[in-house]
Amino acid sequence: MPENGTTLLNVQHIGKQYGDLLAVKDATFDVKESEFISIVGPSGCGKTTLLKMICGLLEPSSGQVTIHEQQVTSSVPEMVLVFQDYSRSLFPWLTVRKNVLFPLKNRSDLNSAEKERRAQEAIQAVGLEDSFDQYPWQLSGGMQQRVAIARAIAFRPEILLLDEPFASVDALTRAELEDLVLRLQAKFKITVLLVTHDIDEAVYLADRVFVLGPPPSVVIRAVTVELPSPRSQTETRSDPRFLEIRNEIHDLITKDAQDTKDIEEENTTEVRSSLSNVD
Amino acid sequence: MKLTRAIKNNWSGLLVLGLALIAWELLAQRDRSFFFPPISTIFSTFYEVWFSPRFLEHAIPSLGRMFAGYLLAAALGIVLGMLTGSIESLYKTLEPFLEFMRALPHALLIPVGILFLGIGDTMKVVLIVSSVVWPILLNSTEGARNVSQERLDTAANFGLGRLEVIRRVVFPSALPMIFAGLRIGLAFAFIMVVVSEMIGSTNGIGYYILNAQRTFAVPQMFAGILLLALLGFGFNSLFLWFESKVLFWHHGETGQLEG
Amino acid sequence: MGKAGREFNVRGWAFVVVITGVVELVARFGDSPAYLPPPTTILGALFSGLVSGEIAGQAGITLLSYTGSVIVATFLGVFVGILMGAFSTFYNAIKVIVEFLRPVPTVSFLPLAILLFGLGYAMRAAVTIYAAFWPLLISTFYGVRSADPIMIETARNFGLSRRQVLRRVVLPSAVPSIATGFRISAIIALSLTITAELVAGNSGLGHFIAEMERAARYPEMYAGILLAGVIGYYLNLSFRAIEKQLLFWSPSYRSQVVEEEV
Repeated sequence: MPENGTTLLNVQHIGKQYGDLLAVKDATFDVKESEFISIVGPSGCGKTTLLKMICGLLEPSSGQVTIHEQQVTSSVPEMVLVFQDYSRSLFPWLTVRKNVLFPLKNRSDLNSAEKERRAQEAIQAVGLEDSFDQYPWQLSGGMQQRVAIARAIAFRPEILLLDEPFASVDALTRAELEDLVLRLQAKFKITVLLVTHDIDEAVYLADRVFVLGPPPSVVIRAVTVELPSPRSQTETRSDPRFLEIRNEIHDLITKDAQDTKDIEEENTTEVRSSLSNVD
Repeated sequence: MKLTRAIKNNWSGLLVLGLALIAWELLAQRDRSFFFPPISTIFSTFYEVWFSPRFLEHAIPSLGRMFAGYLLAAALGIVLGMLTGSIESLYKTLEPFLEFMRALPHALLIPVGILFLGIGDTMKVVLIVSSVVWPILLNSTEGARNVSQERLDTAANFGLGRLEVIRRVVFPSALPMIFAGLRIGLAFAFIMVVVSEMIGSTNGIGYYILNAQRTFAVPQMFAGILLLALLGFGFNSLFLWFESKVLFWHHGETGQLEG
Repeated sequence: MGKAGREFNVRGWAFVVVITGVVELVARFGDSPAYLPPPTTILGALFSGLVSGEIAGQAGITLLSYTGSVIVATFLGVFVGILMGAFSTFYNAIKVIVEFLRPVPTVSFLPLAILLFGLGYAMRAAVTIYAAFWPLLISTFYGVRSADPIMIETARNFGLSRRQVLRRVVLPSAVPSIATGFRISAIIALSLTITAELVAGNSGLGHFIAEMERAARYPEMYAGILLAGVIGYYLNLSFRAIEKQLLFWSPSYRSQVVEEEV
């Protein structure tokens, strides 16, 4: 749970146009330090595009992103993105250890002992100490995604962005990984932005949930999740407030899909209200 | 031991081969064919020819030219391929030219080469390079273009500079395709060295074989062909072995072995 | 690359024009040797050679012999490939010979062909058929071998006999691989026909080029080379297009041996 902390990230009216297609129309929100934000929305609503624009991998067609009040124009060391498809983002010619060391390779401010230590720390944090010298393709899907997360953590970013990271793993592994990310956030005190299409997951993990509409997407609502922390797969998910919030979000999305135009007109600019009908 | 296992797996193939050779021997002995001397004669001629100074005179120059040309072409092809594959505008600019050079039968460059460079080793090495470089270049380019966007994004995310991205991400990713090009290039190198020696040379295995044919020294011609066959087989096997070592991760990743 | 109907690559062709222009200037106004004629002269020689039939005739001879060889090689290669793929006894029997002969460059056998067949069509055909046979054999073999076992099981489940399975399930699924092998074979065949003509032919485009070189008629020589390149270029384009047509339904079969760009 974030203390009402400093604003770390500021996203102002960013949009992305691909020729005729307006993928993201307008997204505006703030992210505070140590917050866990889930971004949820239907398939194809530009969630990946949004994430990429935030961390500087993609240039927005409109609007801007600022972190620590500096504008983001290209990749910044404060933010790292973990992709959904781990098999296409990890390097198969490198061992787990070397994969995790990869971002540290050309950090001249660290000596090699320190680099090894950080890599070790990251790998242990995700629970893969036994797989140091194995290759990613020798590991299961869930383990590979852990490698990708460890690689991101080793870089010590301030913000970790995850693009549907658990979509390619089975349900049991997904639950494990969800809890892993929560633990990592607590341990390393990182701010997390996680994109998912799974509403339950979004609510389970987050302090706030940004609900995205179908393309051209806007942030319909930012829903504050006031549930006790640390979260538990069994207890939190059976909490009546959990169900309320997730149902509300579900309705937001489906209703929105039915009458996009009205919502658009209503919410084209900032989303201010954080709904708290939780008590 | 590996050899005994190889024999055990291929016993029927070896048997058939053995029978074919025996059949050849018997038929050739009986018919005294001019065009197909007995296997025994071929083998003895082979020994006579290649375990003699002739090896130095013909085989070494051929091998030397081939290697020089191949390595040069590999270096050129890979480096240019990485650049062409990474810089889209460069690729687009060179595309028709590359397509044309790929489709041209490279032996036709030999008369041109002879005009410009004479009949020396330089000509042959240059011609080998100008033939071998294309499959390597094209495959390297393709390999560089097919790097997954996720890997490129990861590298950008971690702040790698352009050259570093090519060296640490694009190049390893492209290695499977690069090796495909290198394998084809090896075949081309062989072909070019032989043909260039047939058309414009005074030594070399290609020259030797053609000359033997012209002077109707048939067993010698076969001895030369057999040497080429052995060299071809040998280099190919060496190459495959080398590839399996370097690309172990790719074979592991895709779960298959090269055919 | 080389897809029919793609947008016109202005930049690429502009590059070609520029290079040609530079060569033109150097050849015409620089102190360049006789064996570097200006491109315009070459094009002129090509044009007049086509019109007069001198080059056209030779190219026609090459293409005729080439086409015949490709057809024969295709039948042979596909036939033996199916045998190898479908009947493991046969495969085991000949695989040693195949593995040994396969990496040997066909040009090594050129003198033997000359010895046996002289300098005419037969020599060229023999060499071309031999060379074009291999890619087809290998790709057919792989195509047959890589038929999805689940597909085959399903077919057997529906009561198809072994032969019917081969004909109606295995062969159709091998078509993409065969198509690619055919394309590679076709390119190799052109290369070999012309090379054979160049080294020791008595007719055809390759022979024409060698003749022109001997006669010091350099514009004509380059014209011949250019024509050969153009023929190769368009054959390559067409075969790729055909291959694409035959491949459109296939999921990634390209993990096989014929993945590479030849």
